[in-house]
Amino acid sequence: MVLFVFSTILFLLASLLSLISRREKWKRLLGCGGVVAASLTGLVPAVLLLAGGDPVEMTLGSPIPSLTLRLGLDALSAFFLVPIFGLSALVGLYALGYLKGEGRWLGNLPFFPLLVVSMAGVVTARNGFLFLMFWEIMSLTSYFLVTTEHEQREVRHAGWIYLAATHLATAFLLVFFVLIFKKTGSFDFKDFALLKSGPWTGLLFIFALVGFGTKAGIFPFHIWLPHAHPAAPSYISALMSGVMIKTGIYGILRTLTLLPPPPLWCGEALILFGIASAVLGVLYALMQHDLKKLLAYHSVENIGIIVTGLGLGMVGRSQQNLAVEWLGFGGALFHVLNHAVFKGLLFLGAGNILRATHTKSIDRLGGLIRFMPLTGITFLVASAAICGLPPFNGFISEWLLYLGLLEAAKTSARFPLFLCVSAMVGIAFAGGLAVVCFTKVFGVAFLGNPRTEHAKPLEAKWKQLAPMIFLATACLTLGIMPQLILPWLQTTLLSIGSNASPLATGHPLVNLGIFSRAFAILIALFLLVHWIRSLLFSSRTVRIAPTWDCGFKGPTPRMQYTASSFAEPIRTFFHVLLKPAVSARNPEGLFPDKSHFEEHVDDLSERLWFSPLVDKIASFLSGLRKRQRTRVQDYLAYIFVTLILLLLVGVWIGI
Amino acid sequence: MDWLLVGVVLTAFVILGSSRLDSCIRMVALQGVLLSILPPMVRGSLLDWHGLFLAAASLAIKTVAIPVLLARSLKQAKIKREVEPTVSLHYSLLAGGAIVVIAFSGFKLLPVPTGPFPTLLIPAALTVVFIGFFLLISRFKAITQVIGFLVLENGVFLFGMTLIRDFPLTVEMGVLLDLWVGVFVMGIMIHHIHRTFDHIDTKAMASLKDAE
Amino acid sequence: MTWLIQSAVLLTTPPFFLGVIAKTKASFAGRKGPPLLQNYYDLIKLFRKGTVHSPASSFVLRLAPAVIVSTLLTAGLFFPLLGRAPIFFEGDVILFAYLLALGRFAMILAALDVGSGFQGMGASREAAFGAFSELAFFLGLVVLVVISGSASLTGIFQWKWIHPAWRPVFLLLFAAFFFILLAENSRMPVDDPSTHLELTMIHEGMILDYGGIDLGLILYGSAIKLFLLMAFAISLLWPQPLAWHWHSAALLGLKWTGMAVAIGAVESVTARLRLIKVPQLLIANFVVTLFALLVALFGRRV
Repeated sequence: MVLFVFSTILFLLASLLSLISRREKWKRLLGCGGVVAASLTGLVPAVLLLAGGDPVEMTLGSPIPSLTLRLGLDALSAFFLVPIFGLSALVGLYALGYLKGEGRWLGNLPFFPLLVVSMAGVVTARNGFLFLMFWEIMSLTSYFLVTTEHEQREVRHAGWIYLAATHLATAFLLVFFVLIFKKTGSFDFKDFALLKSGPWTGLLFIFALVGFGTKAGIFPFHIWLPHAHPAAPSYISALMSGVMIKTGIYGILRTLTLLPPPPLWCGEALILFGIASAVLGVLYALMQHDLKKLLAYHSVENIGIIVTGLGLGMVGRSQQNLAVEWLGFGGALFHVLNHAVFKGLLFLGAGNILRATHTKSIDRLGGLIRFMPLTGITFLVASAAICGLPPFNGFISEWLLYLGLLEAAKTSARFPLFLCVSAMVGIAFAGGLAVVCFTKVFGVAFLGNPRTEHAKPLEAKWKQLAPMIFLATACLTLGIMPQLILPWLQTTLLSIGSNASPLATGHPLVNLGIFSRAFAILIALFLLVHWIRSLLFSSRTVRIAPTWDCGFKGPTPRMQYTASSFAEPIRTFFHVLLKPAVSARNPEGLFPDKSHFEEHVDDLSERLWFSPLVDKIASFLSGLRKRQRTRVQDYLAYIFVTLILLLLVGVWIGI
Repeated sequence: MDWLLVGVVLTAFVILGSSRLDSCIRMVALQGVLLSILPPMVRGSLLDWHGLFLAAASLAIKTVAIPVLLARSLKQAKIKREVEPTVSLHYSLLAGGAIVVIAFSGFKLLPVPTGPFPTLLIPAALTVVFIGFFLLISRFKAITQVIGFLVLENGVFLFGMTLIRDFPLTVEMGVLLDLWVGVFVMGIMIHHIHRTFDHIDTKAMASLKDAE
Repeated sequence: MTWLIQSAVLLTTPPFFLGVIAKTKASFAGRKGPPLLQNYYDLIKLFRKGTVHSPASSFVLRLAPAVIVSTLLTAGLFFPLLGRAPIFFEGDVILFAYLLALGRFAMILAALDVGSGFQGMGASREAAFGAFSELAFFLGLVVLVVISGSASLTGIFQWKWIHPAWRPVFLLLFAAFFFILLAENSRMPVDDPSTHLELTMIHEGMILDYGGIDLGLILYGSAIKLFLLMAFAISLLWPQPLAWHWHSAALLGLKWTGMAVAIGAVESVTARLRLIKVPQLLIANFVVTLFALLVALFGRRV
């Protein structure tokens, strides 16, 4: 805990020093370097705890009686602290290179350490009040980081949507904690144990789900994600998508440990939301042309997979099936870690592309791998990992989840069978679509020929590449040796009150060590085949000649398949759901003049509820504004009336 | 027995997914064959006259008479041989999937008779009835309407199998007769619509409302 | 022992069954057809050749053939071809499916690597159809796991429960997996393996720019993929005995040849579908699998 406090102080210092220092170089060095140093310091206690240390708690003091602010570090907190600090350290290093020569972005840099420390605060707070405080700091600092390029109109708009959505979430959480306070008379997590099971458990759970779900980006509350991520600088997107949205998942898990066992339908609802997020998230991702927006929708997909796992774990718990519980929660937690690794890597890669080509539109890229080989290779590794392909880490967590779903389907009498089957099929379909999506991204952006004439893109500097290479190695290591993480999962599951152990699942082979063998065979075979191939080629002639063009002379790079045409079969199939807006002018006549084709897919949930809701509120408020008076007395009267009303409500209803 | 029931449901799927009218008609005929084999099997004896008679009658009507009639009117009406559904075939098939899930998971809520018939019978019957309904709702051409009606009736016929031990023959014969008359009337109407409007779209039927 | 025999079978036999398919198609068409071992001759010929690389291509194009072959060979080690699989564990079905997906991933990227519209077209179709066929494949896996109570290929094909039956479930599943086989291996109603029109190709379109050893490796990989999916389909109706015996090898030859003849027959009597119809057929396949699941669950007592 001493180290943890020390790292917190380091973060605050980094923020402060980067704020007051005048020279650009020092600002950058202090801000980013401070994050790296502080994160590494903070990582130590978290890893120690997961390796078998005892949970610790500390009291910060009580500003008012009946409110004791406490911080605590148990396995669940530590499990989330590892990706938070780990990714932050890497992102800090990346930002050190990324921000070089971007003086105008440095003004918002002091918020970066604050964001990291507030995330750490969220997962260690042991008091509802403190939790909400950190939650708000996290929302506000990330808002300022999202709006780094605030001179652009769409960035301000995105920031605005983010702020609205995140406060909607906070409102629900506030109600959640106040309701608990009403029942228990305390904001302290320890006293929440006094809650008795009752009909309100489900209600509380709904509030928590909406509140935390909005932050996590569960469909249909994900609206802010596809706006905020493209707007934010890439290193911030990596941090937000990699770990910040996971605080929502942490919230749901923490809620589970605080509330009495919620009814079965809560788990089922989570599975439903999870399937919807997974499938719709990847479907919308497939329709995007903007690289970062696409990655943002993939976060929705991955959160969907995690939430499905959580739901499965909850269902397993309420049906007292240890295997299902373990596989569900274990898969979800593992995926939290994995997603932090590969999604962080993908956003960092997107940052390199953006920096080198100055465009986010995939359709304008092409052939990047020849100019940026290391970015390309790491991006490829992350793409394979996010599709859940072996031998990378994404596969292991999805495998745990599949196994859990199959286990539930086998003992169908006590499980919502169709839900499990839908989850199975939904995740498989999401996986299939993810393959489409990432072959599209990688194939169109990195392979083939450049689609537009731009200056030769330059590979990023080593400060940017080193964290990416580290993350790519982590993808492979966690995939080949998943058993390394198993004890961590075990201690974390114990701390959320799960007695299940891998041995209790009835699958002696869930020791995951088998994958080391299987993947060793895979890699050995690959090397062997490739070696034979090279050996054979060494005595054959290999010529370089243009791609087969079917006799058509002079194909231009613009005739390559684009991202939009690549996704066309899927779009055609789902056009009823996606409703793509097309503006096209087809070539006509013998001498066609300029033609064009443009297409855009609107988000279903934005179209259905968010925009109408915001419009309603806006029109209501503008109606109020017309009644605005200019005299001070009127405002005083408003305040007075409100106070009286609150008093009366307090007296009569007793809030 | 399960084979037959599975076959009946599968033919219903094929009708749902096929875009050609003649293959729809062929499938309805095949469904009729499968259904005709059922009564003697449910009765438990191949030499039982009640079952045999029912089999023969439904074979004659469902497999021979009605499909022939439909095929003839298809030929005479000289219409485009495409189904032209209102819901695209992809979604029709997905709806079929939803229907089969609902039917299979929901049939336990119904007060179903118990008896020595296969467990698949009632859900299969429900599925076929629902698919028939769906066909009636989602297709506009008169011929596809008849096909939907036939599929629906086949589902009802399957339901009838649960009661075949207790019910007198006359009831089933009545149902078959009803079907026969219904299709006959529709055949006449197809003819008339065709003569009057040069196509056989049921949207035009509104003007013939009093004829039924 | 199983290691050795299974690896030997997996390495050597797959091209033979492609030859059987070609022979069947030829005899349907009244031709004599190529010799049964033609595919081996072709491979040997290709392995003797050099190749031409596009200047647009990168290491992806050069690594993909090895990835494809190695994923398929690894997947093959999980399948109980002749007795128990060399490696099996609870949940290896998922690994099997995802190894195939990894092969597809590599193939699609290799196609996009040369920067041509034809390859792009093939890749796009392969990716989309792959996602749709994955739907039915995973649902089919659920059915198998629910029936057999095991999530391992060796456990699933342990058929204590097959023989009293030939229950409709298995025929439904067989139909579904047979169609997946046709779709995944770019066979006839989905794709024409012998087409020479670039615009209509799927699999052939993707590998247009490959030549020499690389093309040989990819064709070899396709043969293994076909072999494995044939194994999946035929084992549903008639699984291999679990204990290794010499006659399992004979059975394997017999059954796989039968499957190859069946594929050849289907390919001879069907025409290639319009591309727009393919997702519909894959969805139909999904619905059939769904029906199989329901029959498996509710038809238990009969």
